Amino acid sequence: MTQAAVVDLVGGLDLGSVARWEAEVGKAASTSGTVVLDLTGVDFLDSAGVHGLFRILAALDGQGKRFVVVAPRHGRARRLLEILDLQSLVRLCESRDEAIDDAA
Amino acid sequence: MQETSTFSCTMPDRLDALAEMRAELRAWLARSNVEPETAEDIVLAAWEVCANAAEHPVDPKHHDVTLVATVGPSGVCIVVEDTGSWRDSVSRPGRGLGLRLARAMVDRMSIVTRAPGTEVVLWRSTGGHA
Repeated sequence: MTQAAVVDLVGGLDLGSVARWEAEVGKAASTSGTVVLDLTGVDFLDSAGVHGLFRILAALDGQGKRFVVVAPRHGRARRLLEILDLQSLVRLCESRDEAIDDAA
Repeated sequence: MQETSTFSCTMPDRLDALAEMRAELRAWLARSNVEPETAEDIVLAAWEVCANAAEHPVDPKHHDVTLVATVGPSGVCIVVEDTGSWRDSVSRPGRGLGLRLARAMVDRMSIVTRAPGTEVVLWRSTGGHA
């Protein structure tokens, strides 16, 4: 079993940075069959970021990759996904450890 | 009682100008003693409205977006004005999401279309609204 590739998204996941994060995740996905997207450090998420996140997840799904998203309760990312009622579309973990266990 | 304070900026429709507006608005809200999570919601709403406005220049050479924010004892009011008229909301994927997100971040949002131009008014209570 290969180790999960972890991508630590920090700062903004928004109009200005979403393309860079898509490229990062693409690179990580080429090294492992399982990808953990850690959104704990995301302090600004906008609609372009939400849209990009789902484009990223759809691409991973299309490549047959397993993926888990870390978005702790009370964090900015979790709150916005809940406000948009998107939290049920993807499994959200509280911590990176939980995500890695879950992906194993 | 808190005094009324105003922040305003005019930005060209460029991403770096938008990012600068975000940083300045965030700093002004902090100076105005708006609670951080409420401030972040307001910043996001303003960002989405400005990004939306910046996206549809009728005449790109003369297309500025103006934001005026006022904080009073009960809340924060933001008015975003631009000189373009908005394209249909289905013109790009994710666009409707931006206005939906902005609306969810504030207590009131209204969009007035003029000829030419659009004005969006956002209001968010600072009195313990979740």
